[in-house]
Amino acid sequence: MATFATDKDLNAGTSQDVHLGVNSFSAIACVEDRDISLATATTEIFGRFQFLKVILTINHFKTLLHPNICEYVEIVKGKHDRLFVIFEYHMNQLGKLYSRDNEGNIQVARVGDNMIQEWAFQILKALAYLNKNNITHHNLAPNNILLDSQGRVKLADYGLYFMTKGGVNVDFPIGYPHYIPPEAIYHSIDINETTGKVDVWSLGVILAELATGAPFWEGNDKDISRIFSALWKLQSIAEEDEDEELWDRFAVCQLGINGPILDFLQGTDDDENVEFRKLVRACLEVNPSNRCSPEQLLSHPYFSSIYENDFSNNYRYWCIKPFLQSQKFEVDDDFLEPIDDPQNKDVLDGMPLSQIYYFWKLAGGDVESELAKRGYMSSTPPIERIPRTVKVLDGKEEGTTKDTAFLYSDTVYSLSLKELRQRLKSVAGPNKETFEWDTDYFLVVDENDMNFLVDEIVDDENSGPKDERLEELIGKYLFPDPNNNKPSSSSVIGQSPPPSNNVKSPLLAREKDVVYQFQRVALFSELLRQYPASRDEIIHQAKVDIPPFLRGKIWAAILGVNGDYQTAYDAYDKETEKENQTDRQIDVDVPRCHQYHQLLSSPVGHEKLRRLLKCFVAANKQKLVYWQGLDSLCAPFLTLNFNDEALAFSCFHAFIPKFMKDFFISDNTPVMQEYLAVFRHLLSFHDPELSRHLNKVGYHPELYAVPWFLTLFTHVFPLDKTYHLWDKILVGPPSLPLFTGVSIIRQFRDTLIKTEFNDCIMVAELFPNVDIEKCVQSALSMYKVTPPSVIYRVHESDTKTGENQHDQRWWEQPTPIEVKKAELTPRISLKDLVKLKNYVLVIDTRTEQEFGRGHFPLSINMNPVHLEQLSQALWQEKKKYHVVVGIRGESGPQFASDLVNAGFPRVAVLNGGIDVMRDDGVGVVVCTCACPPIKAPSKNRDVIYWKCTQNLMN
Amino acid sequence: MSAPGNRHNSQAPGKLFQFKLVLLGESAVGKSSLVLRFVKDQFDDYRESTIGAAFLTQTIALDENTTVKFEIWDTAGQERYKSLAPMYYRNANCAVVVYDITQPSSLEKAKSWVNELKRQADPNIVIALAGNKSDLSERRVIDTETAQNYAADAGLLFFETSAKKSTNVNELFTSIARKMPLDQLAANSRARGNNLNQRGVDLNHPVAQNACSC
Repeated sequence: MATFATDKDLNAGTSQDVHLGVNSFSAIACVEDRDISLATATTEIFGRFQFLKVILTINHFKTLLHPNICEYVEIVKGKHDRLFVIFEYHMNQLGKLYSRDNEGNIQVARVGDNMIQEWAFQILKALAYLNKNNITHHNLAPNNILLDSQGRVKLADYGLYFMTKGGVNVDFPIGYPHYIPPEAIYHSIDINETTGKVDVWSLGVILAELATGAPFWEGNDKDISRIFSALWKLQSIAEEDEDEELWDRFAVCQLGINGPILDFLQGTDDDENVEFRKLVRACLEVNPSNRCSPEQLLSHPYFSSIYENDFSNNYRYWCIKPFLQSQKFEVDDDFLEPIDDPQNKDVLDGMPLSQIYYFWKLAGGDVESELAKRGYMSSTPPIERIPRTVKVLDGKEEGTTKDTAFLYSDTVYSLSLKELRQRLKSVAGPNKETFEWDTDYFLVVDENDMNFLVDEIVDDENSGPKDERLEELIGKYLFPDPNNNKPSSSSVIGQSPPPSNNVKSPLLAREKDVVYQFQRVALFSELLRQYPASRDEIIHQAKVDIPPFLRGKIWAAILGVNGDYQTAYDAYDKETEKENQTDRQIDVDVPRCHQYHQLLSSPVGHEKLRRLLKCFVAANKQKLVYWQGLDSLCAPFLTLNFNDEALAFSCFHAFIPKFMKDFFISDNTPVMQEYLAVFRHLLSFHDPELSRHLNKVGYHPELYAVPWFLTLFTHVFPLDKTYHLWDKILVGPPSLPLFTGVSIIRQFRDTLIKTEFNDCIMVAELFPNVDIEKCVQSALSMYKVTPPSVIYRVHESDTKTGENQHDQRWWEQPTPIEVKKAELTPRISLKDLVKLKNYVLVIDTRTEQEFGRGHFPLSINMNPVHLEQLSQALWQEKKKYHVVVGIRGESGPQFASDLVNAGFPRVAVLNGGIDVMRDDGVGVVVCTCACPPIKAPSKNRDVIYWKCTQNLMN
Repeated sequence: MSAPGNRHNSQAPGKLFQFKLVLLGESAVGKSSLVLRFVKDQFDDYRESTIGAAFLTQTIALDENTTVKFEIWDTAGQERYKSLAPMYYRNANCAVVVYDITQPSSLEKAKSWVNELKRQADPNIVIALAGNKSDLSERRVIDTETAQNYAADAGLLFFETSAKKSTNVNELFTSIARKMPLDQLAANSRARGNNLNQRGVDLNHPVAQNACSC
């Protein structure tokens, strides 16, 4: 379970009264140095934002959930590159204590000392935590110190400085003038300085204000320059070598600091709060190198009373090992009592914020239009924004007016979740609990959608056209799903509740259906919680579809990623710069890999992809090497697990041996050639006409299919299509990519069949437009009717060992690659042939005498040269499969290609020819009947063939 | 923008010659970008790497009576894909070997491609050397003279190009077309008859294919 669940997931129920806040700003147009780094400031911010998401979400093992900071949910790009940051928001904040009196002076409401102490402690804890993660708030002010419904401090806005690279990426200053420390004036602060001392000063100011009820700076709060000069002076006063306490000095009293504040700092008001005063004074240490860090202040004597009790913390940390939900159960009568009335329960209660936001979007929410609706960003007509003055020499623009659509504002808007709640209420009603285990519901879906994977096909006479049904049954009988894992909780199909309409709708519609996704996410969250025990069930459910919100984790579960993958990942050397070909190649490939993608094009994305690829090389030392294309292949895992590199790597690492075994050895020629040969066989098998045409014009798979299979289509399709394709490939058999290739090319058959080579190859440009869902469906239906021996590959995955490996008779030896390449048709094993008996026409090309001595029951014997004259007769047999039997398989392949060229479907050569039948234990009775010759009329002279009529097979 | 008016869409009267051209060179020197500029007059900062090979065609008019159609095979640059290369250059009439003027190793790689072509490819193959990314002059490490001298010694056409700024791209391909022994090819193809069915890349059966006059 806990592998993919956070503590927050496990201890659901804390999110009540949480709001999604939005706040918005614009990045500067571009970063310097544009020729070298093509990233825009916006892209940089996107990349860095991802790190903020990590802090409170899914970085298991490394970081801990912190109760005192608000979670960052998402960053969205709007028009004009305007950015919208969505984060956890609470209505209550310290800023509410501040008000203005009739004369416009700021007043601070008084609160109890205990409360101040509690707040100060929690703020410091949050700051210390941020510090540990190399983040400085740099923007601390009463209005971003939020309070949740239990009165706990929740710091907000702490990521602005970090995500904008210390303000480099934006045009506005970060930090409230009232709360910035002196060093912020006299020298620019090092972006990498993350000791949090800036924040400590701000906290000092806030605490002094809370303690005295007066603002720190007196007078008009709009007069920022006065504060700046005061800070400047304060700095120089502090540097003077004097014995007198800083706050007691006359010069300090002239700086415009409010009287009550000074009284407090000087300790002239009363002496009750000695430790508190000491703390505030420590915070307001002018010299940053003497100022304490948040971590140090936590052990300040002022907090001694709290600190002792703080270990309770009430927060459970990450659960590293799987544990049973039942372990948490205690024999407690109360436990059984409070079952909420489901009708009144908030559907969003306990749901991770990112999930709430995801559903909010699905329900039609759009941050930008939501804010526009509320009058935010009322934009000035462009003509009004034209600079009133010309640019001056140093390149600075003067006189430009920016309207609200371009400036930063710290106003936070809370997204309304009312509609979402209403839409979800109906589904989250009393049936919710039973729903979670109602897998039959999805099996019904399976029947029309992906039935090749369903274990049992119900014998329903009404289903489907006759032809398709037949194929289905053959497929089922012959080639059971290799991943045949009977899901634990599935029961008989047909007794389940009727499927709702949305599950039958197209995949893309289902993905946009908030109600459907809500159900799917609930189901998969539950299953993931029980991973790895629930792996079979996850695979079973994933065959229906995979909810995009949980895709990364579900893929990981399907791939069987488990255990402490973080440690494993950490152990690989990914950082050492080596002056070798591989590193150089990775360096040039990464910055051009799927660069239309917001995360992959960010500098953070480049770093991550680079590390993953280097890790791949390190982890496969001496076995696999870096091939161009691995970058594309790795991209889906990275984008889905952007904040969990180790998980991305583990998925990547598990994926390759399963679907692409030996593709990346340093000489992969035999592997690829075999793969492409099998692909060509499959195309001939399922679409002889197209295969013949492409063969004729010289449009060989070597010319177009290398990037398909070497990157499993990630180089061909944009990522969103790749996700859908891989959703199916992951739960399918290892040979599914081959069938996918066939169905892609068949989607364009009408165009291809009419064109010559040059135009054919131009069609390749259209390939990215294929309909993935249709493509996968057609691939699966072809898979169902394809005998396993036809797609057998020597270099196939270990997970599926062909029976051939155990047999050492000559015809069971793997066909040499050269032979495979030369042949247009596949070879079929006797075992598979026997299973096909009712659907196959066996064509024996040996001599009449040999045929008489023994042949496959019901086979036809003919001279290969007579194909043209006899094709009519062969067609009349109306068989779905055509298998050629020759002498030791030698004469067969040529005749089989002739059959393909004549348009016969599903042509294969019996591997080993007639010899296999004499010597195999499959139990074929060799027929020795002496059938009478049949004459077939022909133009010039009649040709003769023989047909066995004794059905010994039954 | 250099002479896009040079291009015609094959309907020109007179002779149409068809040539197979292959692009070779180290990874990320800009092979695909040169082709993209030549064929579509576009440039893409984030051009994805080429896996295996990509195919494109472009037709240019040399004069009123002569049109040349290039069938261009753009290959993957990574050394590992080298084993695929013979498949693409085997019947090529012309080749563009590309290096990056900001990458010292790329000229070495280009030289080794030239050697390989001279050893393995059609003896009459026309080879051009292209020093790409000439717009990045401030980062140049291979000076024009070095490459020019090498090209002259090896008997190659030589251009410094910029796919990004569209410098010398059309000139490069046009010069190749002009250097092809057109008259001789026309005579040959008349003698042998049209050979249009045998198109593209040689996989198993080597096919002599040059040009046809229509």
